[in-house]
Amino acid sequence: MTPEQLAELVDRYASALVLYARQWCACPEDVVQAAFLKLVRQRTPPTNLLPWLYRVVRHAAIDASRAARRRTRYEIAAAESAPQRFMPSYDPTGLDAQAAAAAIAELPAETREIIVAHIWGGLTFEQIAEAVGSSAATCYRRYAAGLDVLRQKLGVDRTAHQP
Amino acid sequence: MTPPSHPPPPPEPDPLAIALAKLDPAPHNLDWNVLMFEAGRASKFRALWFWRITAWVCALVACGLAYAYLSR
Repeated sequence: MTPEQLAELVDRYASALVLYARQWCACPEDVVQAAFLKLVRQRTPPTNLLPWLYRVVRHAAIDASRAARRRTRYEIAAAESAPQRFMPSYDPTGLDAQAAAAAIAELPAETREIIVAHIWGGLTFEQIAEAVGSSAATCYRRYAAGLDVLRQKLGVDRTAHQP
Repeated sequence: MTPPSHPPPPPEPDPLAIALAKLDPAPHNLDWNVLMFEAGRASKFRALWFWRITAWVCALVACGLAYAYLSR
């Protein structure tokens, strides 16, 4: 892998991967960096690169959160008060970034990771299923249920865009 | 004669999903210099170990030859 290829991957996927990893650990940047380094060490690039990256990041983030829990609860508190997940939104007609982040943080982990991977990571449900070790149908079901919960928390009408 | 079956139209995107997608994730704070340095080192991992092992073998051979020469 050339430095240019690595740079392109980092530019394209790093922000979404950090958002994905932040669900579990207080050091998402370290986890994502380690994932890219693991990718560089591969003799042949993975066939499905994006699900591979998300799977590696997921496992590393969960391992990091387990290690942090074993050491101290301080880092758990740091993860809960982590830096903002989204850029501030200046669109008055759009969602409030802080409210959306808080609502997403309250979702169950298995639902939250699917929503983050699909909406901001751009993964299909088949790719998400491959990354988390589940089925596409289960992933879609959790995704739909998670959106319903968010819709209630954020007060967004299901038919908001219909006349 | 059966009429041609048309695939069902894709479901309309969820308005909430569209609104959420408009939120930009916070920029990553990856240390670019550290990442590229470590990536360069990782990409040469096998080559580095090959030359380290080669150097050790050559050193051992040299020590063995030196011992054989000095002890004759």
